[in-house]
Amino acid sequence: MSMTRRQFFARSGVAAAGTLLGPGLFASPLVGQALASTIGDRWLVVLFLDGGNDGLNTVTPVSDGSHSHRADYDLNRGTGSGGINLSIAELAGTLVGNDPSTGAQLALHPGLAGLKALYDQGWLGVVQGCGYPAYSLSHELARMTWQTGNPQGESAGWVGRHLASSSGGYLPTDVPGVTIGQRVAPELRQSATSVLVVDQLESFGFPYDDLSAAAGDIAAKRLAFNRLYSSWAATDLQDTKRFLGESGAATLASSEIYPQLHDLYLANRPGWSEQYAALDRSTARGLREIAKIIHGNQQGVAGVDARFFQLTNGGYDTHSNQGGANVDGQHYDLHREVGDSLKVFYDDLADMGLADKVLTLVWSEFSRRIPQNQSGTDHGSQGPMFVIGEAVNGGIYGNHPNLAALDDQENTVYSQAPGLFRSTDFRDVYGTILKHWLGMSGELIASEMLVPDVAHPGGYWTVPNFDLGFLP
Amino acid sequence: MRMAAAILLVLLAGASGATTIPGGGSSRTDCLATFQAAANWPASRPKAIRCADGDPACDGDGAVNGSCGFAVSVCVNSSYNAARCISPGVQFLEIDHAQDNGDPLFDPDFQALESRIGAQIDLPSSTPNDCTSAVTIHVPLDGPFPGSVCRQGKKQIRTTTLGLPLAGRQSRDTDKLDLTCLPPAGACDPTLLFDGTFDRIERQIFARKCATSGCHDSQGQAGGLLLESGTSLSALLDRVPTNGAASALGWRRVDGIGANAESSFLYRKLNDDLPAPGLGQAMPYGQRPLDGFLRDLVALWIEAGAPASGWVAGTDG
Repeated sequence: MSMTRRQFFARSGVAAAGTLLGPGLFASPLVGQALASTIGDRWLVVLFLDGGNDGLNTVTPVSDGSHSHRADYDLNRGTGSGGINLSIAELAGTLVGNDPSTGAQLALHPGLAGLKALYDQGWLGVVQGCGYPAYSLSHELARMTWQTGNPQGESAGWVGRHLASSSGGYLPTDVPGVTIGQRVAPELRQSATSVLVVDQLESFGFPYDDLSAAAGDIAAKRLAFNRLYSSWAATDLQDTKRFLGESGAATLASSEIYPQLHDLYLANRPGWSEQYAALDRSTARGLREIAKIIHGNQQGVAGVDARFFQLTNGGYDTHSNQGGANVDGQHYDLHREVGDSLKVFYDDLADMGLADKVLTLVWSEFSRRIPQNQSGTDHGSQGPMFVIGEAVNGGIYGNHPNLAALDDQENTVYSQAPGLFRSTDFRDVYGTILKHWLGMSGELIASEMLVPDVAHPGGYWTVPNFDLGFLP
Repeated sequence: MRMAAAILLVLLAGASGATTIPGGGSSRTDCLATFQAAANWPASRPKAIRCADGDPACDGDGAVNGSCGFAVSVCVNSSYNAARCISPGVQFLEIDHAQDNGDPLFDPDFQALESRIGAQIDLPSSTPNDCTSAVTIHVPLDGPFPGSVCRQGKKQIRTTTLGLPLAGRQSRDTDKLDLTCLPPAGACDPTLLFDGTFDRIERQIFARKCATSGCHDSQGQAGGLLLESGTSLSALLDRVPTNGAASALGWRRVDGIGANAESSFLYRKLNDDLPAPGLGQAMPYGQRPLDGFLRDLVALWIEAGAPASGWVAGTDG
């Protein structure tokens, strides 16, 4: 078998899922390893709602409180043909808590009945009004801001920076992260360690078979890759080459171990597998893959160490056909998928005895404009985030945005000024997770991970709060 | 004989209202993807929808409002014509102009339909008759033009579908569905179609010519200007243009305070009346100029002070 150098690099990129090549984060591997695994025996799942989820029809005011939240909502969200107004009666089955600042009664979208059940269990934290100053309405720019945790631009993801930090301390020989999908999630990108990309564990494996159709040469190819990775890992002259060798070897090994987790899960938890399958949706299927890995880890399968997961559910760019409480509407359909899938996931975890060990964060790159258009909504600013898990202090966090004082683009206004409508900067949510779930110090987060906007004048995120309260 | 069998199948499927529309192409691959919609045209072999605005028999919103709404869903691995076409399973399916990526023909309704496919059909799929739920495709009339005249509006949904490879070959099915909204019986009265002059400007001009993908929509926000429904007025009214040459002339995007079309950059752009260097291109960018009566309509609105609601004299015909 012959293989060109170019082919080798291309193959390594796919298999190792090496994220951002570069030696810069190798500086203190021994120190990093000594401080590693601050996530301990826990896991973190990040679920991205791609397209810009309409926050106002996700966490909706049912009453005015001391302000005019419901009246303002009714002014902006129409009824009748194309209307997306969620009536008070339609929200009666998914009531949650009150807006902390105005006392307005809040409800989840009727499609989120699964999340409502988790809320009633005390496992759901709703964080309102999440955004950042000088917001972007571009999918790409907004997505990058949220994925990196930095509106100023950054190549590594916010979770990835944790993996590569002295607190995360992961090495090229580790495989701490898994993306459920087709390519490495930007949240997990970094330069220090490997991230697996798994669509389905059942069919997961090292992509040997595109070089030759000849049967029986897999072993030879495997041997060739192992030799290459080993020889590169052994060098101490070129950090990038060593990284490729070490992370490639780790990924190749994982590609042979992880598919077993599918069989293990089906053998041990067939009824739970069926529950995910019954939902017949990609979010349920993705969460089931994560459950398989967590179960394998719990069962002590050697070589399975992933603690960080990311998956995406698309379709939230509801410029048209958004629908209100109609079960055939697009937003209802998406919410039902996410809510029901997360409910099964946490029921499964609870049955494993792990519901208090897995934290899920749900986010979207922006919300939608407050006034609706003919049958949907255009791009907007702040929206809610969800944090889920038995360890979560369930409840409502952050203030509902002020719908009565919109900006020039008819979106709610980000403000850090004290008062009824102080916004939640999304970096405070990340920081709370980094501090209270991943064990990073507030000082390290603010100095290396999520640097405040101190160069900007008032109104920006200059005073972080990494103690929002949704985690103990 | 084969054609007769196909017609019979279509008619049988239509008993519940929505019919199976193969969409064209080889009958051997036409079952990879099909549409489900209330096809009514031509009567002898329905494969398209033609409907008068407000006709409760076919316009989903049932109202004379300048637009028809057609419920459309997409299926893969259809068994509508099993004698001629057995799907090997579907690997890939996409709809043209469904990506908000600067495509001037981007249609958010097509995007909604493609989102349904992504959410509800797990590709690759070998499930027979694996269908999405219906999405409403809105087809606006063209107009109204002077004299309360409208022309028909059209959209065409086009899909490309790839089958699962079978014996080293991959089948392909390209389909289309024509949707036509016809003017309502009688005159196409603007006062019935729109709430007022500005609503008419927003829906007849901005929505169709300006707030398109990559231009003055959320995603593109060209020149820092958003002209989407619900936000265009606040973006225009008495705002200083970001264009330095225009602001140096003392113009506003829309000079509502001065009630002056000549000092309104919007009108100058639409009228291709840009006398100084640096004022940029005429609008709509890359398209034919607006009809004169629409430019006059904008001028009349501005010279009435650019009201958010109500009808300005001379703009309701």
